[in-house]
Amino acid sequence: MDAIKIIEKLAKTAQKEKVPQIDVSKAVMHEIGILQRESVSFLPFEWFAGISAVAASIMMFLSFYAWRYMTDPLVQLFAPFQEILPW
Amino acid sequence: MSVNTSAELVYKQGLASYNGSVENLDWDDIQAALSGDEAAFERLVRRYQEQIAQLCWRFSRDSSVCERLVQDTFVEAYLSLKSYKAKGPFGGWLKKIATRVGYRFWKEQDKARHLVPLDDIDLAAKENEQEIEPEKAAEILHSILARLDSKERLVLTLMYFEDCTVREIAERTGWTRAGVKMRAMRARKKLKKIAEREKILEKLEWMQ
Repeated sequence: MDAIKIIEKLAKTAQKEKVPQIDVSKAVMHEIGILQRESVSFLPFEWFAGISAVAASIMMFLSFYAWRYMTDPLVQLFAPFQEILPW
Repeated sequence: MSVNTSAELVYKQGLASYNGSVENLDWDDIQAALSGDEAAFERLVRRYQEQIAQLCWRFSRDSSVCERLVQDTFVEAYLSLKSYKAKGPFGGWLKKIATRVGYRFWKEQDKARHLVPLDDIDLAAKENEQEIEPEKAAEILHSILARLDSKERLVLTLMYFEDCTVREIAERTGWTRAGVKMRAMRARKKLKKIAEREKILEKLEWMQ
């Protein structure tokens, strides 16, 4: 008999094997519970990150305008003289 | 009256796609689990854990490892329950996940794979024994298949233990049918060589 035929015969018999009974329902629900708690505790961190990002964008917006109107102190020193015509 | 009335109702409400292939009971529990009812998912676990354990037992004959694989399968199923499109039975979808979990376990084990020498398994016929015991046959087959690489082992495990067709294996693994056929052919060739090397024919000649 061919080796493959023997293996196929083994397989046919192996299909009838009785598998040990297990009950994982409690363990699964426990693990799901842990995963859910982890995701809940992660939520405040996400909120904090979100609020920080909004605050940072507002500050960036304001500082951009402030930068535009910010003047050099040296220029400020000579600014009054610009009104005096040299001639 | 239709068996899947409530499931059809859910479909009509547009909550999910439905093609009638899911058991009514499963569908109700899936929808309830998606709405946050943990007891509904626990019912699904209880309903299918035996089938999934049967499949996971093909990936590891260590009961604690098998239990872990079954557990991982259901946790993964819970996390991706939203992606279940009800295009086939729920059990089939779970088996697909279990196959992936088992295959991943084999890949992790590949580096530190410990092969049970076939000489350690008692292959001799018992007195007055006409046929080999299913447990013994499964143990021998498991040890022989463990000598193949993970992909080839997966194809033959599903073919021999689960009696899967090429189409079913392709669906479960996500490989093409041609790929599955090619792997099965290669695996059989390798298996033949292994059987010759390990003198399986001589050891099991009482079975012939």
